[in-house]
This record gives sequence, C-alpha cells and structure tokens, in this order.
Amino acid sequence: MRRGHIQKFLPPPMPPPRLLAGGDHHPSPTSPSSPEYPFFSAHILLPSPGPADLSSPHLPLALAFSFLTHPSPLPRRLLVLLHAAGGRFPAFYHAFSSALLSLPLPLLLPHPLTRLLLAVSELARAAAPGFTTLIVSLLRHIPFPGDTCLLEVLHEHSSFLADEEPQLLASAVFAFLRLLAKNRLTPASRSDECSDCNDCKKAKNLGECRDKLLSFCVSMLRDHTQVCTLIGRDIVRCLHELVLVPEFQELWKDSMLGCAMDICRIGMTGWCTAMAISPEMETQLLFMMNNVKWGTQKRYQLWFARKHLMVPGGEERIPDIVRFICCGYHPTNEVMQSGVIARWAVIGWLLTSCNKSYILANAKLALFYDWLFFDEGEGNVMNIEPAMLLMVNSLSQYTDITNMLLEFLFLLVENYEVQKKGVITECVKNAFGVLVKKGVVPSMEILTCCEKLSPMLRQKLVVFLSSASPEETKKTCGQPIEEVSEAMERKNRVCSN
Amino acid sequence: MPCDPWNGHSAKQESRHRSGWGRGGDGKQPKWQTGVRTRHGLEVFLDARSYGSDCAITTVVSKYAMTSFSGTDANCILYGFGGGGRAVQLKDLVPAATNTVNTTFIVLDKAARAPPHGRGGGGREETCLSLAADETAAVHFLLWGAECDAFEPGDIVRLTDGIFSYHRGNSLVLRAGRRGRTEKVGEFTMLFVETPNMSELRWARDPADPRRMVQEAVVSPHSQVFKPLQ
Repeated sequence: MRRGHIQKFLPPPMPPPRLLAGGDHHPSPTSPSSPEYPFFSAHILLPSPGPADLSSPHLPLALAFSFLTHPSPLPRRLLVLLHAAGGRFPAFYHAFSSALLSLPLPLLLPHPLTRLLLAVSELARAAAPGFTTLIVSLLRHIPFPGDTCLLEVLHEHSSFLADEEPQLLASAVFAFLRLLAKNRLTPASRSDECSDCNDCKKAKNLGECRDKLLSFCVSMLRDHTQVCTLIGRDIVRCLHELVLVPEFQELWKDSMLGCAMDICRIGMTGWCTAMAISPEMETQLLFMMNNVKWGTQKRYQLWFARKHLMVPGGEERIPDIVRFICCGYHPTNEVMQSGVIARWAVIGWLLTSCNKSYILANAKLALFYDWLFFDEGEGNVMNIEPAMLLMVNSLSQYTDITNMLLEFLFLLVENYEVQKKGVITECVKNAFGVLVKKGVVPSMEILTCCEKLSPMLRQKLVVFLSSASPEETKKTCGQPIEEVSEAMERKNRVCSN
Repeated sequence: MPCDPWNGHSAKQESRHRSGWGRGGDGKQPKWQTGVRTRHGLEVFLDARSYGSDCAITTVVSKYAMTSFSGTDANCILYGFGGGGRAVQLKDLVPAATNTVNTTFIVLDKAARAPPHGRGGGGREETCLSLAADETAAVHFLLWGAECDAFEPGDIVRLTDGIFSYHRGNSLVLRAGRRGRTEKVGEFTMLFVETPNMSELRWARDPADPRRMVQEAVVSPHSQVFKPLQ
C-alpha cells in the first residue's frame, strides 16, 4: 500500500519526442486533432518496433515515428525492418509513405524533416510503391531546408525515372525550372535546434547549389526531351523566363528552338497544374472558389496575400497561381451558380496585387497563354474563359483592366513569336469564336460596341476579328467601325450595368 | 441546494476520462465529471487551480484521482482535450460568470496590443483585442499574454472552457480566462459572418429567471472596433 503510494509520485517518464513545432497553443500530440496523434498513439502501442511486429497494423505509423525521431545515427535495424515489412506485405510501403505524407511539412521540426528526406531517398532507392507521390508532394514545397536531397535522389535515379516514372521526372524538372525562373532561391534559414546531429548538418538547401540545379535541368531537357515535353506548353513559358541564363540560351538554340511551337500545341496536363504552387496555396484557393460567397472575400484575400504573396519571392508566384486557376480548377455548373467568388474575380485581384511590372506581364501572359495556341478540337474552353470574363466584367467599373488586357493580348499576337504570327492570330481568333459559340459571352459586340473601351482597341479588335474569318465576324460584329456607333447606343445598357 | 457532483454519477460518466468542466445540472455550479472519487479531492483541486500552477494541479489530481490515469491523462482532464463539454456556436453565447464555453472560431482581425494593466505590476500580462467569428455570429475575443503572438488573423482557434463576460467594467468579451485553453486547429478554411456581433448587444437580466441574461437591444450590427471590410 505504502509502496503503491510512492509509485504514484514518481516523476512521469520522459515524454516522447515531438515531430511538429508548436507551443502551448497548438494541439498536443495526445489530442486527436493533432496530425501527430496517430503517430503518437502507434508509438505508445509499439514503442520499439521489431521483427516480431511485422504483421501489426500499427507498424507503418510506429516505424515512421521511430524513423523520424530516433537520435542520430539511425539504427540499421529500422531500415532492415522497413524493407522486411515492405517485402512481406505489398501494402506496407504505401501505408508508410501515406503516413509520412500526412505530416504538414511547414510545421515539421528540423530533425524529423531531415529524416523524412532520408526516408524518401531510401524508398526511391528501393523503388518502393508510393514513393513518387511523396516526392511530388515535397517538390511542391520547395524551397525548404535540406531540399537538395530531392535533387540528389532525382539525379541519381534519373535514367530509371525517365523510363519508369516519366511524370515524376517531368514534374521535378518543371518545379525546379519554376524555382530558378522565379528566383526564389533565397537561402532558407535553418534552425539551430539540431546542430549537433550529423545528418542535419550535412543537409543542404537548393539555394546553396544553384549550379547543380541548373545542370540537372539542362541535362534532363537535353537527354530526356520527350519526357519533359509531357508538361506541355508551360515548359516553353518557363524557358522563356530563363532566357537570360547562359546555360538555357545554349539549350534553347541547340535543341528547343525547332520544336518549341510543337510543344506549345500540347496543353498543360492535369497532373502538373498544381505543381508550381504549394499544397497550402491550393487548399486556400480552392476554398475561396468553392465556398466563399461574393462580398465576403476581402478578408480571405488579405490573409492569402499576407501568408503567400507578401513574403520574399511570394509575388513571383502569381503567374503560377493564375495558371493553376485557369487550367487546374474547372468548377461545375452547380458551383458557378452557387454565388461563390468566380475564377475571373480571383485572377483580377491577383493582377492588382502585382507591384513589379515584369510580374504583371508574366501574370497576363499566364492568363492568355492558352489563347495563343487554342485549338478548337483539343483546347478546353474553361482554360480561356477567365480572361474573357475578366475583360467583360471589368468593362463597367474597371475599364482600365479591360483596356490593359486587350492591349496586352494584341501585343502578344504581334510579338510573342513573330515567325508564327499567322498561326497565333488564327488561334486567338478561334478562342474568341469558341467563347461566343459556347455561350461564355453572348457576342463580341459586348466588347466591340462598348463606348467605355478605348476606341483604338475597339477598332483593332474589329479589324482583328474580321481579318481572320470574314463570314464569322459578320455574324458577331457585322458593321464597320463607323456604323458601330449606332449600335453603341443600344449596347450602352450593357456597359453601364 | 448545492449541486453534488456525484449525485447520479452513472457508469457512462465514469468511463469518460476526457471530460472537463461541464455545466452543473441547473447551470449554477460547474460539475467535475471525471473519475475523481472523493468530494475532498474536488475541493483540493479547486484550491490548486486558484494558484494557477499546473504542477500543483497535476500533483493534486495524481494524489486524489490517479488510480488509472497517467500524467498525460491528467493533462487531458485539466485541459479538456477532445472537447469536454458541448460545443456551442457563437450565436448561442450568453454572458455568464462561468468557464463553460467550448467553441471553434476563426480570428478575423487583431487590434493593437494593450500594455499590462492593473495594480501590482508583476504577473499582469498584455492583452490584445481580436475579432472572432463563426458561421453564425461574431464576437470580440480577448487574447491574453502569449496568445497575442500565437494567433494571427486567419487562424482557426478552438476554445475550451472559455468565458463570455464583462471585462474591466463594460466591454463584453469572450476569453480563455485562467481556466480556459486555446489551440490553433487550422487556418483559412472556415466560413464566417460579421453580423450579429455578440459583443455589440445589450444584455439584461431575464425577468423570469434573474440568473440568466437575455438580449435586450442591438448596440451595433457589427463590431464598432473592427469595421467590416468592403
């Protein structure tokens, strides 16, 4: 009795190590709302996983916990156990990688993060099922401390990946190119928390090895061009932004110049539309466009800007966000009619958030990129819809935005690829035609007959539309510019609404 | 008649290790619903609470309640992890002098910090008024001490055992208080309304039941401190 009483007063055992940063105001690992909770619970059940636990349903999480938190050096028995379980049960590797995927990367402490990257290279070495998803997810977070590990893994297995996982390799090249183009390679600060651990000390950031990154991208683009073109026309957009980097200049002259136009005919593939934005950005943008009603978006926009745009290198991501909205998210009719904020409005807000003129130009290019190569058979009207709706809906109150966009569109037609001007003109004309045909706008008169629009641009538009296909223009905008003024009277209603 | 925490103590309640403060049967007195078995234990526990030392509380809980709980469980009890009482929506807040508010909201905006106030200096902490809201209503939430740095606009916060009452005389605010706890459980992905604002209502005693407060008038449809953004 007495002994039992003393036992109750013994100090509690050392708490298990933490995976995530977080003070008093984050859920504790014992709370089911913490992402650490499943790991923590599995660790309590299997504090030291061993060969006897191979068939335990808690093994993936318990092993992941030990793997991420065990002090350096990592015991060999954990690696042996990982592959033993993966060899015995085909689903094990999947479960192990999904466990790692469930952790929010921005909150991961330095030591578990280094270990996570070690786990990734281990899974890639074994070509374990599920490792591609894990790498893709990490690539969307770059730059983060120790991210060079990804480059090393991809470099080491590039030939294998080109044959077996071409999408992963293409995604990686795209993610790295965006990082270089946006010049977001500012050295990420490392926390000193783990300075005594060798693994963490060795970890480097991509910012420290820009040359390696450049040579990886160039060699992939040269040696595995077919794989890289899986991305579609956005790879050309990326390379254009990097044209001042000597390595890319050479590459462009040697191998890309001839086939750039062919690559541009390939639209951006679904699996890489979100590659250049982080998962947090994606979640928040989708929430805005699926749930937030018109009129209540202001605070969400502020929070988004504060978190993602008003940080070093943040504004540079706007063109990629615009691309994601155009190509990566196509709302259903129900969503469009539910009174939530529309895609074109989000893009309009993003354009007004650009302070640097080159970013604004790149964002506008991103918005119109699918117009320049629009093919009625292959192209998706939803990719070009936001630009049109933004122009039309800005007419009454924000005419300068419509003017700016239309002017930019003509600039692109004239100058984007001078030698292929004819093809591009035809594509843009197609785009206008399809937008009318599909009912996105009732007719082109909404622009050509709007008095608020700059007269020069209106005239240019009328000439542009009639130059390409006279009969169709007759239908949509039958009169020459002098006669347009009469029709304008009628259409003033539309503009002043 | 004072409420006896152990009256009608069912087997089901006994098995709930994670409950915390709940409303007493008649709403007059908090009811400790865990497996603490002695009345004496409860009283000592309340004393320890008033010193505000978690260490002491854990020991007290250990001493009087720990037949099956570990140290972690003691924390769970103290902080009501897993949501001890029933969660309420902000529109259902009523001013009361009890730490019984469990709710989740999104922080919309923060005002400038107010320096530590009051006599005595030591132990006083700075505060920061914030606008919080959920899908039903908004309210002024008073951030206290470390909370001022821990939460930013856009954070989704879970409040356990909070209190909605008049602070420093006349301003009606929701806050964690000494017994409550706040946790960041997410960010951004929550809908909200800014009207009504529960802090901008005038409340009066219910003529039928003077222990309860009822809404008397709307002072302002939205916060007068944080203007709506349009």
